Parts: sequence; C-alpha cells; structure tokens
Amino acid sequence: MTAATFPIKHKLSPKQLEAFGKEMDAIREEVVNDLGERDARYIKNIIRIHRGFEASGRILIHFSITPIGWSLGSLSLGISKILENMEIGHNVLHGQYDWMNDPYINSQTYEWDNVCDAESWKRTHNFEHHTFTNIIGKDRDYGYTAMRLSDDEPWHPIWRLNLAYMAALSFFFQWGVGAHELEVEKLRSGEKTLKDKIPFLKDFTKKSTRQLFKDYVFFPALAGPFFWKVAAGNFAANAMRNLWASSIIFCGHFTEDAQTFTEEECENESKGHWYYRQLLGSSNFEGGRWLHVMSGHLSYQIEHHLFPDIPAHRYAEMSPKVKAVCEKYGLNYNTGSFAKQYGTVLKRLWTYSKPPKQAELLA
Amino acid sequence: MDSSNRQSGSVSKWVNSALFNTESARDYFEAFVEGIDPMWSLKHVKARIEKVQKETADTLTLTLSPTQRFQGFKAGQHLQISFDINGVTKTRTFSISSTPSELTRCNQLQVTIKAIENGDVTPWIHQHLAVGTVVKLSQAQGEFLIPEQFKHLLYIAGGSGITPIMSHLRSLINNGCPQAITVLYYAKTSSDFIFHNELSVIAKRFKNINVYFVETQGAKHRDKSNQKRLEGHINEQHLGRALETDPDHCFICGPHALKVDAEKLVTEFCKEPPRFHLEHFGLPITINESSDSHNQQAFPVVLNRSQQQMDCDQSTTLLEAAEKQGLKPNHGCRMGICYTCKCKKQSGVVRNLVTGKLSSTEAEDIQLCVSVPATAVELDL
Ligand code: FES
Repeated sequence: MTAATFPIKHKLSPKQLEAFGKEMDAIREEVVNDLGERDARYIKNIIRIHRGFEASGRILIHFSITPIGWSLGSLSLGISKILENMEIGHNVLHGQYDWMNDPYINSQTYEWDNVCDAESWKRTHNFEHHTFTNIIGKDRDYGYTAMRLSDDEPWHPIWRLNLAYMAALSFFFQWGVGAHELEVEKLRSGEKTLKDKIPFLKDFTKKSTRQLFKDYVFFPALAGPFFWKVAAGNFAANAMRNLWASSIIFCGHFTEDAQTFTEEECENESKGHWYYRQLLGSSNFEGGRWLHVMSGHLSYQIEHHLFPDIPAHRYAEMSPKVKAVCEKYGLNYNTGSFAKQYGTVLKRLWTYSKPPKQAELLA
Repeated sequence: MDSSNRQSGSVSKWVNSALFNTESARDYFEAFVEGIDPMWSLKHVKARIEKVQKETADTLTLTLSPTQRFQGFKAGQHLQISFDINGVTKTRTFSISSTPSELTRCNQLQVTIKAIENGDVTPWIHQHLAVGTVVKLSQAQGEFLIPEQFKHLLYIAGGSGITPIMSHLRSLINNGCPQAITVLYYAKTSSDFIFHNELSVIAKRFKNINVYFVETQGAKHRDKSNQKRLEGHINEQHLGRALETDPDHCFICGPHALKVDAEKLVTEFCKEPPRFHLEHFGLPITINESSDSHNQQAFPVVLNRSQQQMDCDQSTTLLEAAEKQGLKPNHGCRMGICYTCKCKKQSGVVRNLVTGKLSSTEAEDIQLCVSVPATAVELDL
C-alpha cells in the first residue's frame, strides 16, 4: 500500500448482515460451551506469574546496588504492571471470568494497578467504547479527543502537532485514561460543567492518590536513604507500562485501514451490523505467544471487539474462524506485524495532521 | 479505645487498598498461596474429601477433614461447601450428619447428600467427586440445635431431612441421654431410608428411643410382625401410635409440604403444643421447562434494597421491569456485553436470554439487561 488509501466500506445487505451475525454468534457459542477448568487455570496462573514479577521487581529495585540490578528490577516491575493491566485487569473488568464465580476474579469487585478508577474505566471503556466503537462523535476513545484521525474531525492548526500529542499521551497514558471521563472537550464547549464532574473527580483523586502513595511514598520510604532510587525505578516501570499499553491500544483502532462510522449509519443497529462495525473498526497484529500475552491478547483486537466478554486467551483459536467468515463475505480482516500496524498508525496521524486538501492530494 | 481501633482498622484498610488494590493483603496473596498447596489459604476454611460412601441409590455421605481455620459446629448445624466444577465455583448448603465430638477426636465431619435430579451440583458430586479433592467450607451455622433442657423430643424427618437429625441422635446417644426420643422418618419406599441400619440398631439398643420408618409410597411387603410399621403421608394416626406422652420439643426437617402438615398436626394433637424447630434451608425449586418460550407467566420479583415488589413476565427483562417500576439500575449497552447492569440475585432462578441457560438457585450475580425470571426472584436492587 502506498499513500493513505482508506478502502471504502464494503456494504452488506441486511440479509447478509443477519447471516454474518449468526455465524459470529456460532463462533461465540462454541467457545462459551467449552469454557471451564482450562480457562480458570490459565487466569490463576497469570495471576501467580504477576505476583512473582511484582515481588521480584520490588525486591530487586530495593536491594539493587548497581544500575544493572536496578534496571532488571524496573523491568520486572514494568512487566508485572503490563501483565496486571492488560491480561488480568482489562480482561477481568470486561467480565471475561465472571462465570467462574470467584469473588476476586470478578468485574464487579476487581480494582487494577492503574490510576484510572475501575468503575470509571468500566463506564468509558466497557460501555462507551465497546458499544459505540469507532462511531465518530460517540466513541470518545477514537483519538481520545487528543489526536485527529480522520477528516470527520474539522482541521485546525493545532493538529499540526498531532504526533506530539500522541507521544505525550503515550508517555502519560494511564493519566489520560484516568482523566478520560472528565470529558474536557465537553467542559470546554459548555455541554457539561465542572459540577457534573465532581463525583468522578472524587473517585479519580482517591484512586490516583492510592497509586501515587504506593509507588512514590510507601516503597521508596521503605528504602530510607535510597528513596529516590526506588521512586525512579517505580517511575521507569510505570512509564514502560504506559508506552506499551498505549502502543497496543493505538494499533487496535487507529491503523490505516480501520473504518469509522457515522451516527446515522448506526441508528437502530442490528446485531449483525454491530458485529460488522466491530470487525471493520478494529485491527489485529501478529507475533509470538509472549507478545499476545503481554498485550492482554489485544493483538486480537478484532476478536476482542466481537466477543469482549470471552476470556481473551481464547481469541487465538477463534481468529481463524473469524477470518474464514470474513473471506466468505468479502470483508477485510485487518492484520499485520506489530511494526507494520504501528507504522500505519504513525502514517495516519501524520496524514491527518495536515489540512484535508493536502491529505486528499496525498491520496 | 474502640474508636482508635476502628481508626487503625480503616488506616490499614486504606494502606492495603493502596498497596494491593484489595481490602486486605490476603486477597492479593491468596491465589499465590493456593497455587503452592490447594489446602493452604489465607482466608478460607479448606477441607479434603477423605471418603465417599454410598448410602442409598441417590444419597451418599462425604467425610471431610477441615483445616485449622474451622471453628467447629453444634449438632444440627449446616455449612456451605464450595466445589470447583469445571472451573466454576459452586456453593451449596448441606447439613452435617456427624457429631461435634468426632470432629474433636479425629478432625472429621460428614455430610450426607442426595442427588437432585437436574441439579448442577449434587449429580456432579455423585458422579465425579473423588477422594482427595479439596473444597472450601463456610463456618457452621443454623439454629436447629438440641435444647438445653427437655423431657421428650419428637423428630419428624422427610427424605434427606434426616441428616441434621442424625447428628442430634448420635450426639444424644454419646452423651447418654435418658429422656424419651421419638423419630418419625418419612421416605418414598423402604430403600430410600438413609441410615436405615444404624437407626434400627439405635431403636433396638435404647429403650427410650423409638424410631418409626414410614413409607409414603408402595409399602408392599409389610412386615406384619412389626407393630410399629406405619405408612402413607403424615396423619393423626401416626402421631397417635408414636406418641405416648406429649413432646416438649418438635424438630421438623424435610420438604415444605411435610413441614406445614407436621406442624399443624402436632399442634392439634398435643394438649400443650411443643416448641417447634424447623430447618429451613431449601429444597430444589422445580421449573416447568416444557412450555418454555411461549410461557408468558409473570413472576413476583422482590427488590430488597429498594423494598419494592413487582411482577415480571418472561418477555420483559429484569432491567426493563425495574425501570418501569421507576428505578434506575446502572446499565450501559443493554445487550449483554458491558456488564454494567450486573446485580446480585439473592434467590430464585433466571434465564439468560443470550445463552438461553437457566441460572442456579443460589445467590449469584446476573446481568439484568438480558435476564428474565424463571421463578419468583429476589434481587439486591
Ligand atoms: S447493560 Fe451492558 S451488559 Fe447489561
């Protein structure tokens, strides 16, 4: 693919949509009926591995006397935060393991290692983003209102810094996600007032204070005179998680071929069209097993959006089936290597940092 | 003193939630500890299944050895056992049939379990539960206890309702109780009496204990020599034959109908009605599956938190019904994907419209937006 050629949506007739939806239901059904022991064992193992990484990370940072020890500790803690946020927190909060009936591994009670309050996350992510995926104006995750990703968003000179916004958001991703429900753009336009946001701000402050206390007060203080060494290690681990998580998530919906939808298109939407929109709005990337686990299986973003409440480690086995159905209906199954997908995200951001005319010329 | 305690409690809670994102560090480390040895736990009573022993065609007795955390029980109490069935934790309540002294002596307790047709736990126990399996236990609870003072105890049991009574009888015998005890035990046929041998031996050995086995269905080969033989559902003659003196305490455990009838009959029969002790926890609810999707029957739904009651038919989701009632339950997608609408169902059975499956009868979380009632339901809403 050369310039930014975003394919026109391949339309399906209502009949085809219905049949397509049925096929997706069938893929889902098959896995639902097979859920059991294996899935329970999987998530419990991941939780144990996470505990191992977190403990060894904190211990290494605490006792490190060389930069190597410190780096290994930060790396280990970073990995633990990634595992916890992506493969445990995100997925448990989706209710993927609620069927286990385990009060700890449950979407209603789980709280994750992130400044974003789990309740707020469930509202903005599980509900808004997953229900209105890629509907411009309704899916606030689409560009996080901090980046311009299509011409549906009017151009303004500030968008020249599109890529800089992306870098900033990546680095402070957990804070971006945490403050997402503040809806700054609506506050600015006057649609919402700060007063509406008081309950949210309270929860956000509570949660982020706890997180800051843990990483920048408690564990550093344990090290006494080496306070700053530990604080820096924890900062590095948080930054690592932020960069990683944001990259994974940007690859999920902001790639070159990811489609957007208008509100009219989705009025009184059928289940078939909902599936269709989830498919065309998402993109996968390929990689080894570790890459899938560390991305919380969001490398299978398409499957995740089609089946958000199915345990994510199952997406790998669902993927070929989804792909086959897509071929049958002539629909694009958007996938590629991680590097390639990330490249198209950058390209897209670059393209839309320019006024529409130039973008067209480029195309 | 008290307030400073409370304060330090809430401080430690806050620190725990900051460090572990859970209310206590135990929750955080539990999975880890359990991974090392399934009998280890930082918060739960665990128990190993030591023996599985058949009693009748559809009942069996489990012998369990609980961990140190178990605080013991009194005869007649019940507890909850959580089994891991294909990755799903399923919890059910069972009466203990053994004695507290046996627990102190050899750290073992027994529950006797009847397989409930179409149930999703008891048939599994019968078919798959193996010796060596580790389960979770609650502490014992219940008020179905031997009174401190009494003259004559009357026990009326139906089917597997004999289990807590067995615990009573065994304890009473252990303690050398001299008072009169009468047991009226109802079961369908002669082969359905659990503990038949033991009860017969008890009745023979102890003059003060009389046991009547009553077959409610098909008592064909009646043993003429046995004057004590009674049959059919509970009635006045049974009481007349069994009771020489009025009991001062009457314990009833069995199906709902038996409880109602027995309480009424005993009250009428005695000059001075005894104190009644009923064991309440549930027997299975039967659901009429046959007329399924066409069934427009409405069920009463109790909303406990808002103290309201409503009717909900099977084409209206519980979310819609609650909204019609003027409530505003949390919700998002209304199509079963976001789990915003999750709510604790405290009792009853619901059908999930996405999977078409029926829920269990125990308390559990359900998605209001895709659930319709299949029986009367209680919600924490
Ligand atoms: S409202 Fe989204 S699952 Fe019920």
